[in-house]
Amino acid sequence: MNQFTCWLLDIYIHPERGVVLWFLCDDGQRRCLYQEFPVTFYAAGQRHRLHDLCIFLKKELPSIHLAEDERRDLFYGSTVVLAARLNSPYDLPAIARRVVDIFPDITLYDVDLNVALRHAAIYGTFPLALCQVASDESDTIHELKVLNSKWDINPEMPPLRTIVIEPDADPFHAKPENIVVHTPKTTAKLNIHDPASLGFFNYILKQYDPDLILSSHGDTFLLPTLLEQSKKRNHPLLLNRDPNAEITFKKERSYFAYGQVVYRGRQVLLAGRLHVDMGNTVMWDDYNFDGVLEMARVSSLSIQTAARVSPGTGISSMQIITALQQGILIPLNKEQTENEKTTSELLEADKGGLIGDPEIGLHANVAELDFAQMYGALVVQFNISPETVNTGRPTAELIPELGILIDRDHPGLLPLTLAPLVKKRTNLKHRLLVLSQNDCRYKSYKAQVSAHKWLIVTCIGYLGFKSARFGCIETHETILAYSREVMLRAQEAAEDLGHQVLHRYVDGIWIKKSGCNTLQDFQPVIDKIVNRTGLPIVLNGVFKWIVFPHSRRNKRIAVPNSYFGIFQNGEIKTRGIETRRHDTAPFISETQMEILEILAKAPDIEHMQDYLAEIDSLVQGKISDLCSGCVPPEKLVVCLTVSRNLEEFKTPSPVSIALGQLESAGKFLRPGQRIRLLYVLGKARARAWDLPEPLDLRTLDISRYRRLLLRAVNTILEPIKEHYADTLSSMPVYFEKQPILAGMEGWITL
Amino acid sequence: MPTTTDLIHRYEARLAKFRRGLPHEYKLAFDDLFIAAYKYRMQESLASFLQPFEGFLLSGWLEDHRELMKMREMSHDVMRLRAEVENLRRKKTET
Repeated sequence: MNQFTCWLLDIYIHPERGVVLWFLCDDGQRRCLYQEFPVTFYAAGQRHRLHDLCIFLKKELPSIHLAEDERRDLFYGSTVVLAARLNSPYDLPAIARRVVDIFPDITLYDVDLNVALRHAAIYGTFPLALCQVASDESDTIHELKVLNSKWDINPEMPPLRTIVIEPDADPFHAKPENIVVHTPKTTAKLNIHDPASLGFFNYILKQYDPDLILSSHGDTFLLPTLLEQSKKRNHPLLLNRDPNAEITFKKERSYFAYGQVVYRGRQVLLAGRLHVDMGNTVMWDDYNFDGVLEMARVSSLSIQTAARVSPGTGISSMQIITALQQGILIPLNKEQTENEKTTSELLEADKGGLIGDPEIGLHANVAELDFAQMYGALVVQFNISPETVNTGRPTAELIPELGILIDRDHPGLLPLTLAPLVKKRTNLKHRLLVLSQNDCRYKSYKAQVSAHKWLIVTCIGYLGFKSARFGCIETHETILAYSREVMLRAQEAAEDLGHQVLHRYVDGIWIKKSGCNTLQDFQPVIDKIVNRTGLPIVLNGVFKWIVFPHSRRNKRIAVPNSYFGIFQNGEIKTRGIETRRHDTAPFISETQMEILEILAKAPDIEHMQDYLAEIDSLVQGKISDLCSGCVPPEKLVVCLTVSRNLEEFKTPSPVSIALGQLESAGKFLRPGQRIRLLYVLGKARARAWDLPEPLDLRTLDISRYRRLLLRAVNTILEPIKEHYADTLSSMPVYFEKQPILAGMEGWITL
Repeated sequence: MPTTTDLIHRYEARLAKFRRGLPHEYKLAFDDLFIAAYKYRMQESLASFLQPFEGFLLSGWLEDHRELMKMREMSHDVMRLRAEVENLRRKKTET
């Protein structure tokens, strides 16, 4: 018997030997081992139909083991089921499909579960888990013990061998000629059309034997192109480490989530090593590879899968593992529907988080308080779960403020799933508070915290999703009702101590009080809120100044999700303004940020006007650059999301115009993908950036860009101008009427 | 379910002809009523047992009443100042 200490890289199904597990061993070897892995699925229905199903299953799979069992359905409680045990997970999808077709009246459980999740539920495995493994001469595992936990803060990590591959041009914009391969030691350029490149790429794979291929456009262009050439030239590529396994391809798709159309490109998944396409990774910009690893660790999904699925799938996977461990049945399809409600009940129940209207204008010394992972904390603290809310259990207690019955005695599926995640995130956030930004752990902790945030937030949204397996709209509504109550209590607590509440937004509250301008000054109010709500609240910082702008439509109407300000440590925070929006040209968003950076130099609100001359000169320079054609066209590119197919547009818009131009050039985009365009003169008004013809710079609609630029400048300067309205004599004249340049006319009145 | 903001938009649209029929200065007053409806939309959604329009009217009424309270306070201040001025004037004439 061989013994290894190793890290689990990947796990997938083998047609004959159960599951394949790839390990990175501490002696530097990469080992492929096999494990027998019987799986059980369950069926519920009328007794005679279950009998028919038994006969069918025995006939189809003589080796199947059938038995009567009693398991727990989350919504219906204890249920008598037929338990069918298969020797290998390989046969399960096909047999399940046939059962669904032949026995539509039978409810199936535990049939479509990812094998990594089943393995995690039994052995506690997760990607890059440190394991102790004993295997025989035929590489069959006889003993597997996980030595660490996915909830560890600083787990011992294996040295992953990584190569990065990228094309030398964005394939959608221009035809790439070369593939650039970066290994830790060298960078090689391989000509795509050169037959020798395949051999050289294989040589790199063989020599370096990477665990991870990190790519740019790998899913959508590079690997499909390489594989196509390999097939054409009959020159096999060594992309897979496992020579017996096939490369898995998944089709591109568009879907609707959270009010947006989302696009996922096609996927190329390898066996024995990992392929992660940075451009096709969900939230790559937000949490990078560290976040992907954390997402994989906590959800137990394979790293390749975790990189490409939404946080909703991640949290759903975590729930599946909890359900498997708790013996709860996991239905193939959700069967529960929303309870009947009267219109007034629906109006009362169907509300989101508390969003108030802020006090419009410029404010000094404002504290930003934030309930730490509010929804997750509520779920854990109040035991909110589909099976604990409004149940007839005798242990259920009434929450008078909300009129909801909750069973607090028996931990629910959702709190059991979220509790360790919330705990780990709190721990990491505490560490981040005392960690220097230069510390090598800082970025990784930040990425992990971000990954956790998305998991927790989506978990609550996912509860209201009609197809979520453990979704329950009433539970979703309960969490939001709690959150509104908590926010109202926080507001009352702050006001009791004489603070003015400037804004309330879902889980954040902005307050100020004369004489309070340091972190310590706000400690009493924090203590009072914690005392009154029972939830942890953190002070994100004190703003030197903050602006809550008014809407463009009316100066007296506030915009709840839009603000900008400077913290006392000089950090700039912006939400909802041009610089945060994807549809703002980089030139405009950079200018707005530069203005904020100038304002950030002011020590306090009183000295802001000292910096207006500098801003004036900056804006003049930018307008001059724009009008004289000194701004590179790529800085004027606007990114918009394609919301529908071209033929579905009813009126011409910049997106539909640019989409039409691309389609004429043989380039196609699907709903959810981003389209890059420029505003141009003439009837077309917009021009797709990715057209093959060169751009005529004379056609750029400079006056439109100037209007947009001035609007962005105005967003920042107008509230300041209004704040200093009484002392305008001391302000530069351009705030009054006189424009400095032709083009500044609209500065204030746009 | 429509949000409170959606409902305000709908009512504004449905009352567009009513607004058109108003003289100019009344139009401004009418728009002001709706600004109050926007300002208290969070509070309106918390009192969802009210009909939406009841919520808008209550918001307008609340805004008016708040203005009234402010004016009362200012009027008290003016009265107090006037009394002080009178007092000073009296003292001056006495001396």
